[in-house]
Amino acid sequence: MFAVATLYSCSNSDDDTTIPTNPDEKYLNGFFITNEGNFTKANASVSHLSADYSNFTEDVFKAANGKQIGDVAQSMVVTDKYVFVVVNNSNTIEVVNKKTFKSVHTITEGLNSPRYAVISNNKLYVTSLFDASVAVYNAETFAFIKSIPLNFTSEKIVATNEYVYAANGFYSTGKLVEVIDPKTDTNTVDITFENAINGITTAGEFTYVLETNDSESKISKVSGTSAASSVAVNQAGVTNLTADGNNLYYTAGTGIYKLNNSLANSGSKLFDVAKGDDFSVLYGFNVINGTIFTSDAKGFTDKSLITIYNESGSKLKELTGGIGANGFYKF
Amino acid sequence: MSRKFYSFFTFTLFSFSIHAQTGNSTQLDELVIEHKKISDRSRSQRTIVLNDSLIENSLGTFTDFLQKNTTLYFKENGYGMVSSPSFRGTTAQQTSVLWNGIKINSALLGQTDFNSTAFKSYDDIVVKPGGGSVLYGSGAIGGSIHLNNQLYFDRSLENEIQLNYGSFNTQGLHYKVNAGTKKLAVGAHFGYNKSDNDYEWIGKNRKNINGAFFNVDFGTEIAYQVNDLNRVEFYSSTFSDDRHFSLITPYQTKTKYQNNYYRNLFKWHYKTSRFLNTFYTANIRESYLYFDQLPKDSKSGGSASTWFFKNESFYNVNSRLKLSSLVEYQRTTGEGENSSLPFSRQEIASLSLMGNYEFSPFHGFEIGLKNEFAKDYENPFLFSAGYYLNAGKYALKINASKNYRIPTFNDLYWQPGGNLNLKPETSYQFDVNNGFVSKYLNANLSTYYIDLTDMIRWIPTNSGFWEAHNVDRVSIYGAEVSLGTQKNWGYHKLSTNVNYAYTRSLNDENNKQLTYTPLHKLNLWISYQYKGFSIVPSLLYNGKIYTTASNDEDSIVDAYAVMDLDIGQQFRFHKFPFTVNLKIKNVANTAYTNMPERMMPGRNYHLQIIKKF
Repeated sequence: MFAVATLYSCSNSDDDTTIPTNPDEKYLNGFFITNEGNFTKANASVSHLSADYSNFTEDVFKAANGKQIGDVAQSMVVTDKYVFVVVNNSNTIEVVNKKTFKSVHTITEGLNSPRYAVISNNKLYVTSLFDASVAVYNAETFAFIKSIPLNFTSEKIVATNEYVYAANGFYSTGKLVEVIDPKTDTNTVDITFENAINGITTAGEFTYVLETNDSESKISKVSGTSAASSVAVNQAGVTNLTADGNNLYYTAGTGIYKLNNSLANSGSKLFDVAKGDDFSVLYGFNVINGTIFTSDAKGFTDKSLITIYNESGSKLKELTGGIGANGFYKF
Repeated sequence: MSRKFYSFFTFTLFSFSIHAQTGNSTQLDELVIEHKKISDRSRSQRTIVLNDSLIENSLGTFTDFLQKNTTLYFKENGYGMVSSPSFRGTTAQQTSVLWNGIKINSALLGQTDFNSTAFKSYDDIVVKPGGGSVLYGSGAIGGSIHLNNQLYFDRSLENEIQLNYGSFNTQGLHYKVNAGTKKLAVGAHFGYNKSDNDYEWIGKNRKNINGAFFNVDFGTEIAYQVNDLNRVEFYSSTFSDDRHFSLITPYQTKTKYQNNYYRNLFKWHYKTSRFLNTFYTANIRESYLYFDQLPKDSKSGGSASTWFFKNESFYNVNSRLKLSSLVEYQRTTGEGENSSLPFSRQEIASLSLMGNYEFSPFHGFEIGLKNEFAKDYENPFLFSAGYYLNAGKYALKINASKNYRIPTFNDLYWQPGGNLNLKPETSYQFDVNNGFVSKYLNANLSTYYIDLTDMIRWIPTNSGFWEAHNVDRVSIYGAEVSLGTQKNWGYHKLSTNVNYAYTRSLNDENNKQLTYTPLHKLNLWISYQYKGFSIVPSLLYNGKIYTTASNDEDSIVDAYAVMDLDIGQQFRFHKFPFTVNLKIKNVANTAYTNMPERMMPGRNYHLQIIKKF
């Protein structure tokens, strides 16, 4: 309640002191949500939620541009100026103005089923489902720069100040985190893991890698180009590794778990989002400033149910999102 | 009350059926003719025969043909692309397709792609709405569609050749030949279709990209009358297609799909005056290849081979009581190629018993029982029971049945996600048909109710991959109205045909209409003929569909109505008669989609020449 009151008063004082804003600038804080949509139905969308959860806008791309964003909005990257939406099965990256969501550019070159992206050194690095490579673009001009060959196809890609880390896909044969030096844009070092990689995230100078098999999982801390320490997680099917503050979070089944990023222990369960064997109840997951964002994809037959929790499992907000809400991003 | 009831049915309700039922006089020897057998064995259910002249004068896909002539609704991913039917609000896997009496739904997918079906190679197509699992096994929930070839003894040589060409470089060639002596009957047919299919997306400022398709099919049939008691038949059919999948957004990776099947069937009929036995042996092979990154040669695929052995017996105990039985064994093996389907095998044996008792030549009842025996899933006991009344102008048919749809190969064995704990989808259903026939009018009203449990759906699990599960329970009720009229005077002939379907298909969980199932579907045509000239305007209307389970109004696909115009002329140049048909599809150039974002073609023209000799 206090937080809401503070935000409210802040925005009031902003109104009084700043120059009148562009009326198209409808999104000034909060969160973006990617809704991937049904594969081959081209009904992907992006939703926006204001920081105080009071304003929720569905399909902001269509509202601003009068057309659908495309087929399977896999992920996005949010910068100060732009949002880059990776539209997997359309082979496009839609670059939009962050505050208006109006289209700035559509990247089409060098893409073959793009999955995830990250910005480093003012360049955009994009992984591909089909190609064992990372496509690199100028993040200001959006020009295609080059394609960096990898050993295996990669999914998630993250960056620290020093390196870009591309993690091999869970269903690929690779078990590597392939390290790219953004100064030379080459993949010189690979970090090898024992099992398939199911998650990667960064906090400060460190990168955390989750590997898993049918019976157990492991989280390792990577510093520079080598794994420094690790902790075993005595569970199968661990997924959704996320860093927030000094903590790491992951999910297994319907449970949400938290551990300290020192990896002193494998952490403990915070709560379950649903009872029993409910499906797809943790399709989208993120933790932003200690607040837990989840989505139930409803088997992709219905609009997603987005639920925001605090760490004790109390529901802060429930929303109906687009089809297949798969990611939550800080404004 | 009863008077009211009667007038309700005679006044409001109607239908069309090209072949009116012949009633109770069916002879055993007619049961060797597939479409006769279908109607004779299901006298408490409606059968609709789409005959050879209707098939002959059609153009386009099997989807087009059935959309126009039946109440079936189709989901089509753009013109000519993957097309799946929804029969009485059910799914594509709940529609059984049979080829000369043998089930041909894909073992891998459980369904038939109606844009990969060479419908012009058949002499009649029977559509039978309602439950039919006792007779036709898994999948006959919404109804069954029967593709039949007809052989004729003692017939002189008949050839038919058809050529068509039209918009988007659409071209076709079809050839059929039939001949028969007293002992031997032979038929063969060939079909070829091709289209660039690069139609304009009206209002979207682009064309249909990567939509080209091509298919070719070939088949032969031979029947030999060994002696008075024995007759053998052999049917063979091959089909091969290459379909590019049109892009939904312009920069997508291009893909294509190749589908092949090879079917062989041997039938042996043994007939005495009161007993008919037919033994079937068939092998059905199917295979597909999916190219996921054109122009690269990256591909995956799958193949399956099924052996069927079926023995069918009919025995007329006396003039009133008829018994029949079915003993079946089928063995399917399937395997993926560069895909996640490991080599898998399924064996199914089943036994069905049917009885038909006539109280009088006008009415009777029938009962069917079936049990299947298979590994990897539970085998429910199935039944069918019905009553029929044939009172001259009015006919009543009432039927209740329990039916099922077994899990497909992919549902059971795909890794990961295939689930060996799946139960078959099971239905209890009930339908009532009222038919009315007079000189000028043919009408039918069907009302039905289907209770479906354990619907199989692939859903994402919390570990990230998708898995097959029995999840939904669905209740469907609806009505189908058909009305046909005909009037001749002098050289003039006027006929009309209307089919309307009302389908309420509700998910029991939230009581909302199932997605991709329109509440209303209507088609109608009016045919006017004068001597050799004919003009046939027609209309297809599909109501709006929901794409989300909650029926959100912002996710609907709008209703649409499309009009076609067919104009035909027979020419009789001395000894060289032939027919020319001009078909204008979507005359009003309506912009519409049948699935979200999948634009369908605007106005397009096709010329067809038919020559018989």
